[in-house]
Amino acid sequence: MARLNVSPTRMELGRLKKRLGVARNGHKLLKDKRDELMKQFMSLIRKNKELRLEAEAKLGNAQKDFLIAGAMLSEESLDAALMLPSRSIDADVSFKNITGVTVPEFEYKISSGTGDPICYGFNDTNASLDKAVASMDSMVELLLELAKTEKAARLLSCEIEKTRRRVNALEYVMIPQLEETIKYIKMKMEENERGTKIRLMKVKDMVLEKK
Amino acid sequence: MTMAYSISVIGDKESILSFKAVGIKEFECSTRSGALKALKSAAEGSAIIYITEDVYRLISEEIRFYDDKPLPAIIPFPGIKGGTGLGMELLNKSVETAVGSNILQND
Repeated sequence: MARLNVSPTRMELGRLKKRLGVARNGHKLLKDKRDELMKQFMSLIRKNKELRLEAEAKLGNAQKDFLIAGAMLSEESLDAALMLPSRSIDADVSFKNITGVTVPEFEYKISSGTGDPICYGFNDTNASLDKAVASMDSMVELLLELAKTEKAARLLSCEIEKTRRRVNALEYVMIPQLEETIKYIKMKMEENERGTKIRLMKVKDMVLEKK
Repeated sequence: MTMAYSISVIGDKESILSFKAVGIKEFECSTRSGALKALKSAAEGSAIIYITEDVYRLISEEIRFYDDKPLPAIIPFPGIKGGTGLGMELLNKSVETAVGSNILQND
């Protein structure tokens, strides 16, 4: 591991020792953060997978219902029937903090119109359309749950990746580098000390010889 | 504190019909440029954007921009032509990003 390019002085040694302390502390904290994030992520992603499978299956059925309903109606009358939905839904968003990651939570509310999703006359539509709209209506909550879990999982995975990089950078680059540099400075200073001692002994010998 | 945002859906006409029926704001598009425009206008003020897998593939690069933002949540769903497995693919990808290898495969 490359050592840092610093002059081997006592000042520098003190500074590096402080940095090493901070790096070790940070490494421990980040490692804990990574482990906790991973724990949260694993439970989220399992839930996400289940939700997605369920939502995709149900949505497929709802789409099929719409297709069947549409097949029995002319395109114009289907368009006309669904042109103006009787309501519009909004998402109430609140934020939750999972180990330092802000994740949104959604709750839906009907912002305008009635609670009843059927927005057309029964005259030129058929029963399959009613069924299709009803099955879609019952899916809204599931879709919101899916959105919440999937977004949280994605945000967590981004954060885990970042944290893992930081942990690894500290563990395999910063800390070894600092340790090596500290060792180098210590050795250099010891060497200097020995050099001084030997010089003094030599000078002493020379002085004694002269006398 | 909660704030109200809208919910949007982007995709081809047949696929988003079912979403429109329950009151979700729809953005119809079939081309890449149309999809980009739809994404841009949907991203302002929407908390959740459902998007068909086909359109998602067209503009996946642009969607990645929203990956690490808390809002909006962009969720792909299979369109009327059937699923292409993109949703699961993305799920596996985020596992891979987080863990380093796909550990969900055998579940």
